[in-house]
Amino acid sequence: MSELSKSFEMECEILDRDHQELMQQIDKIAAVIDGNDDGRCAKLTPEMIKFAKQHFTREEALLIKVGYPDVKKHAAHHQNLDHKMETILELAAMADENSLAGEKLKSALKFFLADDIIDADLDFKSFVKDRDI
Amino acid sequence: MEGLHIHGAAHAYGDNQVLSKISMVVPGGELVCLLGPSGCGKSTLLRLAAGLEVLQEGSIVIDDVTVATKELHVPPEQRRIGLMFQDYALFPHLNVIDNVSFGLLGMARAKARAIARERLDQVELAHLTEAFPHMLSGGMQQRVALARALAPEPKLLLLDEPFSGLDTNMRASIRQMTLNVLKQSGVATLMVTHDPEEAMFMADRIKILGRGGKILQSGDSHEIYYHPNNEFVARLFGFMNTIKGTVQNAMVQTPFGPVPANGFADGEPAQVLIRPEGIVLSSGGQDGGESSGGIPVEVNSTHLLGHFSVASLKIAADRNGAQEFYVRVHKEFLPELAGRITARIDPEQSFVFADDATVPGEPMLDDLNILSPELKTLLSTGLEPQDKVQKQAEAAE
Amino acid sequence: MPSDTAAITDQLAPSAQNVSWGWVNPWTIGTAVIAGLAIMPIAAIVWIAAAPGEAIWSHLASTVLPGYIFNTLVLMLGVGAGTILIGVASAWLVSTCRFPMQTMFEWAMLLPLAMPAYVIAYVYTDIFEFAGPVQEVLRDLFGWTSKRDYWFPEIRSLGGAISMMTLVLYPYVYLLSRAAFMEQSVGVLEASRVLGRGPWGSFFSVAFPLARPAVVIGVSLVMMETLNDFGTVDFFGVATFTLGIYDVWLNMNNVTGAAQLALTLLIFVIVLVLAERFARAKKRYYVSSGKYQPLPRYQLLGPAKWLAVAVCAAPVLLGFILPVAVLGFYASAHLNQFTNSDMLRFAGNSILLSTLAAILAVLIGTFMAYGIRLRGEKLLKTIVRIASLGYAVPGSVLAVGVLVTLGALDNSIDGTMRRSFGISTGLLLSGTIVAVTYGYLVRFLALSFGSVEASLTKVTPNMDGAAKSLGHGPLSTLRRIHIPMIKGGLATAVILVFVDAMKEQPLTVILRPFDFHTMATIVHEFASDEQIGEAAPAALAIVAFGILPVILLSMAIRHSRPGHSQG
Repeated sequence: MSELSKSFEMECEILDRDHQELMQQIDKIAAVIDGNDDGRCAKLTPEMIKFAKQHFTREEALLIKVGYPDVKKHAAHHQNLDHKMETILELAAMADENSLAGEKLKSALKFFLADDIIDADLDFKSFVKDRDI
Repeated sequence: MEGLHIHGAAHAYGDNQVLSKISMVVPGGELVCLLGPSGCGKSTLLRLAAGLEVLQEGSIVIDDVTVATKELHVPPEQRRIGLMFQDYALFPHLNVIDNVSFGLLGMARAKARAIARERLDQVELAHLTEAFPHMLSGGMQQRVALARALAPEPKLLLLDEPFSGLDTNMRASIRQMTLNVLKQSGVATLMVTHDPEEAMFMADRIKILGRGGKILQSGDSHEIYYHPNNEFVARLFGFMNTIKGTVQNAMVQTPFGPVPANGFADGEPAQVLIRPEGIVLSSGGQDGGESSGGIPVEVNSTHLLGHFSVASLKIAADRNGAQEFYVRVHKEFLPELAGRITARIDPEQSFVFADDATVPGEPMLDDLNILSPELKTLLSTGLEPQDKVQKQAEAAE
Repeated sequence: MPSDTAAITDQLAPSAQNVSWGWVNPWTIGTAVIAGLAIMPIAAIVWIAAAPGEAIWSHLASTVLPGYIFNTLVLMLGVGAGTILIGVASAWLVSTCRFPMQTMFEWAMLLPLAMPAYVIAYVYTDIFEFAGPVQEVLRDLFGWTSKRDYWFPEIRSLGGAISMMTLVLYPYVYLLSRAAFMEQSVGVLEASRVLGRGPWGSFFSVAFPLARPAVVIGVSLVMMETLNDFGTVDFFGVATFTLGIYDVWLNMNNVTGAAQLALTLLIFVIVLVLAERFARAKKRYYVSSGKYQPLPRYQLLGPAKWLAVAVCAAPVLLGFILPVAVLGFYASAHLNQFTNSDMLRFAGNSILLSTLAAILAVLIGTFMAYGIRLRGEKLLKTIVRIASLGYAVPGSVLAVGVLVTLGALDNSIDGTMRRSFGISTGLLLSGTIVAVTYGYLVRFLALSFGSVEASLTKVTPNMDGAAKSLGHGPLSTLRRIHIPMIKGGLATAVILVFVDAMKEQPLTVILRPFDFHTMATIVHEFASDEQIGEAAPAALAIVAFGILPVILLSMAIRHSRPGHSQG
């Protein structure tokens, strides 16, 4: 993944930029695990998680601003990801030494971005798109 | 992105809504398992992805190519997917190698056969290329079906209850082989099953599909099992001891002591679900283990099922009370040889949910289908005459 | 055979006492006797053909035989190809597509089964011959006056015979291939789609090959019927084996020659029987595993859907509706025929003979089916298989065999009586309705046996055991379990044999007593004299009876839809 696929585009610049940034950070972590990049998962992953949380805040604010009716539900969804983020951080702490943890982390990150973040956001794609932000 | 991306898929047969707003991503090389009881629309989702049903709402994208929307329907033969049917659907008039090379269209025969042979080698059936399907055992047929689905190098592999036709003792080895083959091929795989154990074994991510075709929770097996976010998901993995109560001081009172109410407000009705292995028994010592926080219990029956025993028990102080609890204990612990026994709840294996009157406390008959055999035995332990239970316990072996 | 019941009930009791008897038991011996009687006519043909007689064979071989072989082969191949085309196409459309009137066609496609080939041959000749309405209209339209002015296909030809038989025999192929298409696990077709073949590709690479054994069975039956036909080829003057046998037998009065021809025809039959057996054996493996799902049907749209309607409607219209309408038109002009005393007598003869044949065939069939059930020995099974070979043997061949057999029997009785008592009994059995009934039984035994056996398989051995364990004795088990469960099958068998006997022509024409007519023979008689009008009422009556099995079949179709039994 280097470019966001068409089916994942929100057609909303702010959100797409965030998603793109997350994807690049995750790609870098994956490259580290695969041995194609030097760096440490234990350092990169918390940074990515931090950015993800900032993105959630940004996104919720944006949704409130445009008056998206299901904003509470989406905020609850973000909260439900806490546990997944904890797991990711736990795996990342081990990933540099333990290859099994590395593989699990790669898989967890893919799902975290594609399934949990972007795919869930697509629910309000049409709502946000129709409003000029 | 490689793999499958479904967003907002909904499907109804007449008035019967079988899938409502399903979204999911199966990244390349990953295996997603759709787990749910029968009749929850799992297979419909597979058929939609395969193009065997026409999508009514939402979108389906495979390897960045949109194959289905409300307006668009790419026919199955143009989607480049592999589908393994529950009944394998091998072509009875073709031998094994012709079955496997069936999907290799527009390719020289020799080359197609070479590829097919390679695939068959992978599933350890290279010696049976000339055999016909009716000559093969169920497990062999399953492997031929897998080889056939993978031979054209599909962009997406769909598995419909891939192991349900196999008997228990060969299931484990075929499951392992299938997983190896899938991981080797690196294909994005979506599998549906009603068997929680199978899902936990195979999946990188499990998605729980509830009645009415809604996804209730997504996560890896650890998360789904130890952090179910609702009662349905928790009960999916088998029998649950259920204790009903009302929240007081942010705690639910149980015979085993108070349990944190998990955010429910005081005065709200709540229920605590505890897995059979979530009630921890201990014995011995002067105080019979009471020092570890346990409370005395009386064991009514116990049955050894191999690496563990199941036991039914009542709270000692309430031996005339109605509620019986079922626990699973490791083989080292034999309640019948123990002295005073105490029990406590393992917080990791107990969950607090709202006591929603619409969900009955006992598992519904339907849900029994998704219980593993030993849990079925466990369930019936207190309900059947002793000799029958004994037989069932033996049968479960 | 009232003693059958007692015998059966004896056998329902614990069977230990039978073990030591081996093959000496009422079932095996009884079945052997039946089989002997059934095989006798065929054996007689072989015997006579091989016996030294007038050396007519070399004469036949150098004159008419090549023509018989050619015509018979072309007829078989033509009818085979035609019935495959119509039968498979309509079966595929009806079982996998959705188009207007599709559920009606599901059973309507069977209607021509009620129509004997000879009846539509008479009807179409009347319509298409030189003096018929079609040519008349054409002549009026274009101002032609004589035959030399234009070309019009000759209906009384080999091609005409092929068309007639195709129109009424395709339902065999339709029925079997439809069942095969319905039986196919939807999975295999979907698997083919998913593996990259489109609907047409999937049809030719999966659906049709899987249905092939069923199609072969259907076509074998069609060809057996083709060989059996007498009325059509006689009326059209197409020199096939059947006609040749009739000719050599009755016109040349040569028994040996007729038997030799019959024997040659039997080779054709043996090939067909083997093809059918082989296909049946293969078919078992072609039933794909697993559960059935509702068949997702292709919704046909626009021109395609009307094309489908046309493909299905044409054979039904041409093979049933139009001929019935024409017959109805003629019959209304000859209403007096319905009350004509001769005609009523012929109808009575038909009903008498058919009833006799039906009841006897079903009794014997039941006896054999119980024999197999209670003593499933290999020997018994082989005997039964031989006894039921008659279904494949053309009526003309059987007729010769029956005549030879009964003639020999009559002669020996006559000889004995003359020697002992000085009385000549003459021909006791030959030329009586005993001969006709005997012929019917040999030919229709397989039909009744098959129906009874099929219904008996529903009564599993465990049911007998269950009834016994619940305290029911053999008689009570027979009355409370067996009879209720198989009576439907018995009734079906009676109807099938009755109707087939009623339509039967070649056996009846050859074996009937002098001046004795059934509806089938009188229709032939009238038609030969170009008196289609007079023939119409009897022909219509035969068709009306022929509807019965069609109704049975269509009910069976409605109740046996594996594709619709599960969700």
